Amino acid sequence: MNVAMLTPLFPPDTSDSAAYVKLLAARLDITPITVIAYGLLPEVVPGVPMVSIDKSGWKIMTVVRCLHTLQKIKPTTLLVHNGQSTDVPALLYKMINTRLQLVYIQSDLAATTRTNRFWYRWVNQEIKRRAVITITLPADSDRYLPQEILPFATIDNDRTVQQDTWWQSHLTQIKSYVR
Amino acid sequence: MSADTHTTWQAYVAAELATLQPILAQRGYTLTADQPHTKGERFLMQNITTTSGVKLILFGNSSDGQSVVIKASRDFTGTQELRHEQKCRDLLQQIDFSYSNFDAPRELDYWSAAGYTIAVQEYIEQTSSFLERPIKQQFTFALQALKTQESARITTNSHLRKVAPVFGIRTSADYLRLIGAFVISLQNNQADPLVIKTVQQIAKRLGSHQKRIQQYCGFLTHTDFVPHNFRIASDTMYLLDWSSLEFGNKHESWARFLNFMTLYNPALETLLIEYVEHNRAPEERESLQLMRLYRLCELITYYSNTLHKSEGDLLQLNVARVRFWHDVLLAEINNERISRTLVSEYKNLRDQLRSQSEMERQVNLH
Repeated sequence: MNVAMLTPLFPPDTSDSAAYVKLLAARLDITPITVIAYGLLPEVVPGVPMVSIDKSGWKIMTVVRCLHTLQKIKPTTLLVHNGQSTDVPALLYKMINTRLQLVYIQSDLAATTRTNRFWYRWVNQEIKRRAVITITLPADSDRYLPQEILPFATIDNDRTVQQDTWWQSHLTQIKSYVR
Repeated sequence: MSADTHTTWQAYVAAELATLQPILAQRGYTLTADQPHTKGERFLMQNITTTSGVKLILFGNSSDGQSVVIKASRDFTGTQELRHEQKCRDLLQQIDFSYSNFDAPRELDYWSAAGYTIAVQEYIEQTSSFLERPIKQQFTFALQALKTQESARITTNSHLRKVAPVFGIRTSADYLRLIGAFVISLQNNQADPLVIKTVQQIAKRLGSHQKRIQQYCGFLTHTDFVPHNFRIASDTMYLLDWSSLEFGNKHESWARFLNFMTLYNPALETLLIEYVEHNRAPEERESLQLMRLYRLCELITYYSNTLHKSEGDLLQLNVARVRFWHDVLLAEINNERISRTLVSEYKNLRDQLRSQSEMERQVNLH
């Protein structure tokens, strides 16, 4: 078993999707797992190796760099977070390695509607077709992102419990597809 | 204050107002009698890390009685600054890689006449200034505005191509270059050797943490993120001075704000630091501290640069300012806050040494 997680967004990016991916990497409790993230200097998740992919330069080179990284890691299971920059190399890698267990996570809901290009719609459909499962995160990120600790607010314990329950079932679901 | 510099500024203001008034009148704008932003220490203000030209910031009314803010300049860099602000404003409404929207006063007019570039913006009426508000509101407004800035980040070449021609871009190498320039400036101004030594020490520290600084670069940041650039109305905080926006280390604006609050509201400073410690990655906390050190060095250099333009009480005050911010810097090196006794001693001295016109300029400023 060798798991890799490919993501277009990771902190320091401030999107909900980036925050979710960092949490997922910290909580997945699968070894070995490698996070492949776009961007030069991702934040650290203790105990989780990170590989960053430079997004500058031609898009084709970014795809090549990503494919090269995947070839080096040789994952048996690949968790892919949606986005143009991840869908294309993940699909190509899956086409080359048909036995790869591909788990597709739609964590950036905005990205799914951001582009209407025909070729990307095709890539997106293909990757979903070839994935063992497509998991779509709830539209409301309050359901899974921890509440901020703020000086004039109290933590809503009920919400924390609901989030823990959500995470438990979410992690169990993902782990059930890991080979 | 230095008689030369101050007299030059007063003469400049008088001559500009005499020429500007008829130009503004033709367009239906009148100036109010009191113009606080031409008074006090305004003549000393020259940004040391960004393009900052000579310009007037005036209050007035439009023909339909609306209160307006008029910015005008015929100085080359001042004109550039106004054009730059307008371009920043336009581009920021268009960028597609930001997760949030920015609130700014509406631009009502922008034109060139008789060598002047003139920008007119709506004046946002506020019932109370930022610092007059309860600390809970201050915290909420500040955090929201900081998060809005952080939501715009350059991650691809296409982002960079879009913003680079308009906004300034700062990388870790730029911060190192700038702090090197602070050291040279302090040496040229024959600053206290102890101050020079501390700034050199910070330069070395930034150099050894260049990667950490770079990690949080590429974000939109307001280099003058302090209450005199905020206006609050109907639960919305409007950010002023868009020419101070750039893409750099996101903690530049945080650092500027926290350093300001060391003096004006240490409790808010503490709350924001605690917020970062509780909710953000340890790397962020480290980057924030590095940027605070950098911005304190900038502040010390800024006041050191004013010494040769000051005399009398103002000279004494600027010497005290260099000393005070150096004390703040020494505390921040060890991630400590300066004692409140020192803060209040400094504030007492500052209030004794400030001129009457500067006191007037400060009213409702923050």
